[in-house]
Amino acid sequence: MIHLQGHIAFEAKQGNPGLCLPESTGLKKVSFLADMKRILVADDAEVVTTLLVSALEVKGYEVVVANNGRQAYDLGVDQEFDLAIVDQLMPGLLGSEILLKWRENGVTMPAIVLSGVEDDDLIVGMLEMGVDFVRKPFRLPELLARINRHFS
Amino acid sequence: MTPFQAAVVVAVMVFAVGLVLLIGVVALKLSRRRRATAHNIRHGEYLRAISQHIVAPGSIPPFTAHEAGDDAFIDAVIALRSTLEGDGIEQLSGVIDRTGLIEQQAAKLRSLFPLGRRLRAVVALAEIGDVRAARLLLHHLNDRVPEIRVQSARGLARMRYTSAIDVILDRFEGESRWVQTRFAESLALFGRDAVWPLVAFIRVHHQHDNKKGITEIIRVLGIVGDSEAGPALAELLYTAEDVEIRLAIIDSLGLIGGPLALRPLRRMIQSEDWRIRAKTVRAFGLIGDPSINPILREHLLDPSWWVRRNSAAALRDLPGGVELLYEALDFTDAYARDAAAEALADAGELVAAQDRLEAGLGTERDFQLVGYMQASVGVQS
Repeated sequence: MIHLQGHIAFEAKQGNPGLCLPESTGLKKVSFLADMKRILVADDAEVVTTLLVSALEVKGYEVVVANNGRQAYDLGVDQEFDLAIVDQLMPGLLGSEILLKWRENGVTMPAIVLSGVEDDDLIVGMLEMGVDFVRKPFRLPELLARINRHFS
Repeated sequence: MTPFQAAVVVAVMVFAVGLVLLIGVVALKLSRRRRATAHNIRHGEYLRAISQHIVAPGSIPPFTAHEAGDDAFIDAVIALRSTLEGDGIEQLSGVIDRTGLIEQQAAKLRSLFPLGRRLRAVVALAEIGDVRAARLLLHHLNDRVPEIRVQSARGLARMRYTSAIDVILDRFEGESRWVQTRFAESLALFGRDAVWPLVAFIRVHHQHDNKKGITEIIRVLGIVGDSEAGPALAELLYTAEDVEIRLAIIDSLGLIGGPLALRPLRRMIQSEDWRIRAKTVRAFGLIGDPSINPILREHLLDPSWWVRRNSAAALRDLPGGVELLYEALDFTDAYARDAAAEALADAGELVAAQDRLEAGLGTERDFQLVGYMQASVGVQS
């Protein structure tokens, strides 16, 4: 580019993941970031959301955080995500309740439920819904591998 | 000075003192709130920084000893310690090493005053559960402050430092009831490793005066739930004279479960003491073996109302038990019928029956249960 004495300008648009070339150029959106996967992380524990945001952003995912069940449900209905990681025990709505309500409203994104409670009925129920389950405390590489599996 | 003037002066002084106190309290509250807000902000920043270090080591400047002295940093380390397993813990251990966090907290715990700082240090060491603090925590099992002894035991249990089990048990009998209960919680964290030391402790001490301590240890064996403890508990169940100890053993055998637990409990159901029978039928429910259903059905007619109620609750949880509860609705004994109906309602049978009846899909059993409940309410009202 230096050799050709040219330049590239990018602009970001709110609500549009990825970068676009300025409209004045007449060129279309740059595709390499348009494929960025969006993940919803819902947990009332700051430590979990902070850790997952760090880990997922390093891996190139776009992460949106919800701090309670109600907020998670609303985000899932209002926006599009490629995956949701939902804590089971949250104020407002339980993780399993959120998933059921999403399914009732036609939100069918894949999900991983995190839970520190060893409840066999919950685990079986989640697996029957096709939802992945990870126990807390968790191994970060294992969780990231499960996330990758959803996108492979 | 007239009495009126004196009264005015006193009133003004009282008002002034009250105002000063009020301002002082408000200032104190504001200061605490500001400190708490600053702590939360730093905590969030530390969480982000340490998380970043864990997911991409070397991506941020290393933490220093100065940061390890900050409570917000310690809280962030503790929060991550209880969230992660495996490689993440290793990365976190690296942070703990470099900052000298363990050494700093150990020094605070060793100091004589202030108590708040010592408590904070022992809780941090217990939560972090780093084995390098084991010797220090072992030493502080003899601390003069009960809460420090309790937290030391908890920390040793979290790091699964099994040499501490005997030391905790040595102290056990001399402790207050409250400390014994907290020690028992820690002993349960050792899991299976604690079973044989606990069994040995019970064998040696069950005839001593401190029955409360023994019942705590028996309950720990139930929580651990290892069948290895079954025969020893069964043996003690036959020989122990104290009813509290026998009740605790029955509870624990119920939690441990399996055929080895069932055999001694079958004998206990013959006890003349209604408390033993009531606990035994409850334990049957926990064990979940349907071969026991006929015995539970029989005890729906036990002379004690508690035994009937517990028998019905146990049947509710056992395979085939609900059928027997429906049969019991036809018993001539009103108390047995009530216990069965209550258990069926708890099992969700009443709501399901009402739904089916409303939908026009009711069965004979649905009519029987709903009719019985309506009749009971009618009699009561």
